[in-house]
Order: sequence, then structure tokens, then C-alpha cells
Amino acid sequence: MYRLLAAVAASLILIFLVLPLVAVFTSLQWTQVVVNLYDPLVFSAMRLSLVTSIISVAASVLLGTPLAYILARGHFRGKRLVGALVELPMVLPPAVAGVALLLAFGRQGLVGRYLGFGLSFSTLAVILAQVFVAAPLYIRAARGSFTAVDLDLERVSLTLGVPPSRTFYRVTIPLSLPGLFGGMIMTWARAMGEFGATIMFAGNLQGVTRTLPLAIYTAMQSDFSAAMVMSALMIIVSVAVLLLARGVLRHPEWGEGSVAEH
Amino acid sequence: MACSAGYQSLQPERETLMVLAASSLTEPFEQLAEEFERRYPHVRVRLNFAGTQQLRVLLEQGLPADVVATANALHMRALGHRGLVSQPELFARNRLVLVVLRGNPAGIGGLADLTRPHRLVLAASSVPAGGYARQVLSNLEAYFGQDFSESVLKNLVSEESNVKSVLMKVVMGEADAGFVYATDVVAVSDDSLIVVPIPTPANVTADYYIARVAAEANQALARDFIDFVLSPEGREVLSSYGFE
Repeated sequence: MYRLLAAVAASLILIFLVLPLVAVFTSLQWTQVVVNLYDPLVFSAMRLSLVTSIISVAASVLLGTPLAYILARGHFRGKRLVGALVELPMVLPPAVAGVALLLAFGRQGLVGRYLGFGLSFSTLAVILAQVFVAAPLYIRAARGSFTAVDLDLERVSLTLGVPPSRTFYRVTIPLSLPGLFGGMIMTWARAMGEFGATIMFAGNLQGVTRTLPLAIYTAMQSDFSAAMVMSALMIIVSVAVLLLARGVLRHPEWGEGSVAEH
Repeated sequence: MACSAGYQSLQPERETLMVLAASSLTEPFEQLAEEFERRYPHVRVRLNFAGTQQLRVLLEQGLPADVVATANALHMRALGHRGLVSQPELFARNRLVLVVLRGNPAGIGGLADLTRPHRLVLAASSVPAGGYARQVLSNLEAYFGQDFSESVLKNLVSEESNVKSVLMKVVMGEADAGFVYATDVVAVSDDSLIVVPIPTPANVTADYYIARVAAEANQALARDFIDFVLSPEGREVLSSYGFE
């Protein structure tokens, strides 16, 4: 009896999760797809989304990795507070993130006021919005992977006279790679999908701030078929990334065995 | 039975009237709904505001509603052609104004300054207010020369999805200037804004239409609401917010 109920519940949620995605593709008229893919509106949105999301991931990795390592290894007062603060943007409603970014980096914002110019309405604002909402995902994943690295392995390396920085690059990073990579994928996906903070903080202008999600929203109001084509595009890209991530994470060289070779 | 009757007397069943209205109608329709509910205590009016083009998409996608009020004739006509609304009626008119951020760093003070580099925000072309703004810009070429519209649009930094967001961007100080409805400014008591009128020959008239949504259960109630909007009391509310 319970088994049957569980099966029914499992099927229901599975159908619910997949059905809307299927609907996007069954509603597509394939002749429209070709026309729309060459639409400068679709193309410029796609390019902007790719460029900004890749920069956002790079920024998250460059600036987030040290913080994640400090949070994983460091002992200092207020560590729990810092950890919680870093994760806060992850649970904030995107609209709140948008308001907060405006109040900080807008022309009359906390920082913007002293800059003499506002960062809003620029491609940089798109990137800031993406980093704000997505970087915590990377930091969280990286912190988790660093914590999971066996401290003894680092100690062995250090006692053998390998300097700490080299130990970090030759021992800690390789052992954490699967987790770091997983975090990057999640960060990238979140950055690609960023909508609420972007439209509030960065505005909505083709080629400058109109990323794919904003283009979908804008097209919904005039050209529904373009909105569908772009939605289908985003689903395909998301599935591809998910498969890629799984494939890479399963690859033996990315497993624990790889360290022995170094 | 007694129990359920007691429950009902505690919470009398109220009819719901779902009204979709253009963003620019926000303030007068909130007041109209309130007064309508006072006259019809058993009715609860649910208001939904969005850009007219969004309202059209919502109705085309089958959102159940009783009344729709749009900020132009175009979208209402399109809904009529698809049999989604019946008997649209003109109930109000509106005009555009330029709003300028007081003390803006670009030094924009009037229409002629708009060709100078600054941050201009408009509603998207598919939004009625955005279409009207572009029309006004090309009408203004009669005053400021042939390439006026083109050189002004070079300063466009964002296309908003409804007219209220245009106003917000200027009120918050993020943008220097934007085109909104004359009525939008009535609702804002903020001295951070300068309202610049547009010469009448170059201005546009925004026509507001109201209609029942076809194939809805509350036809009679929808009719009552529309009649109330068209009544002298309704018109008074609309004109108190600057609608003509």
C-alpha cells in the first residue's frame, strides 16, 4: 500500500517537473525556430548571456576561492557569521537583490553616490547582479570541497618541505576539483538564469543589458514565438551543461586517483 | 446544517470581480474599486495592473478575468478580433509629459536638451506608453529638426515593461529623463521631479478603452462595474487623477 502511494507520488512530481519543459518543445513551430535564431534580438541576447555569465563565473572563482578556503580552514572570531552572510544572497528573493544593488551601486546609492556615477544600466551591472546571486553557490561548494580534503595529506606535503602555496595548488586544489567544478556549473547556471535583480538594477536594453531571460520576458509581450524559441534554447543549453557536468565528474581522472600521479 | 449556516453568516460569500487594467490606471482604479465595493458590499474587486501588452498576452493565454481596461485602442482591437472581449468603450484620455530628475548631472532641463548625452528611459515599443513616446519624439522633429528623434534615442539606457517603472527609474535618480503619462505625475508628490509639458501639436492622445471579457460568468457584474466607471462619479474620480 505504502509502496503504491510512494510510486504515485513519485510519478506525479516527476510528470509535474518534466511536463512544462516538454510543452515548450511541443508548442514550437520548427519553421519559426530557424527564423528566430537569426533574429538579431535572439542572437544578441544569447551572446550577452554567454559573455556575462562566463565573466561572472570567472569573477566568482577568482574572488571566491580564497574566501572559501579561509572559511574551510581558518579559525577566527565571527567565522560563522561570515559564512552565513556569504550565503544570504542565495536565499534572497531576486527582487530584493535588485533593490539592494540599486541602493548600493545606483547613482544615489551608498557607494554610487561617492563614485560620482551609477553602475546601473550597464553590462557591468548585469555582471554584478549575476555575481551577487550566483557567487555564493560557488563559495559554498568550494568551502565544502576544501573541508572534505584530508588534512593529513596536506600535512604530509608540508612536512616534506613543500611550501604552503605549492601544497595548495598541488594537493588541495586537485583533491577539491570535482566539487569546485560542480560549484562552477551551478554558479554558471544561476548566472545564466538571473532575471529579477538584472531587470531592476541593470535595466533592459538590447545588446547592453538584455540577457536571454530578459529577452524572453520582453518577447512575451509582443512576439510569443520568439519567447518560445529562446526558452527552448535555454532548456537545451541547461540539459547540455547538466550532462557535461555529470560526465566530467564521473571521469576517472577527476576522481581521487589523480593526485597520486602528481 | 446549522453549523454550516453559522459559518456562512460569519463569512458571507462574496462575489469576485477580476479587473485587469493598464499600469497607468493604478491610482484611479484603486479608488474606483473601493467605491464600487462600498456600493456592492457582496462584491470583492480584484485588481491586476500591468502594461497593456502584458494584459493582452494574459487574456490570450486564457487568464480568467471579467473586465479589462487598456491604454490604447490597438491592443483592445486585437482582443476584439479574437473574440476575447465584447463592446469596448472609450472611457478616458491621457497625454504624455517629460519627467526630468531635478539637478540631474547631465543638465537636462527641457525637451531641447534631450539630444545631449544623458540617461533616458522609455517604456518598450510594445507598451502603449513606449509607442506614444516614440511618436512624440518624431512629432517634435517639427520643432527641433529632422534628426531629433534619432539623436535622442541614442541616449536610451533601458526599455521598461510598463510606464510605472519608467517613472520609478527617474524618481530613484537612476535615470535623468523619461516620458510618462501626465496622470502618472499627479500621483507622485515628489519635488525631485521636474515635469516638462509637451507642446499640444506634438503630443499624442492616449485613448483608454474598457470592455467586458467575453465568456465570463460575471457578465452582469462586469457591466455594473463598467457602468460605474462611465458614470459621472466614475469620471470624477478619473479626472481627479488628471484623466480627460
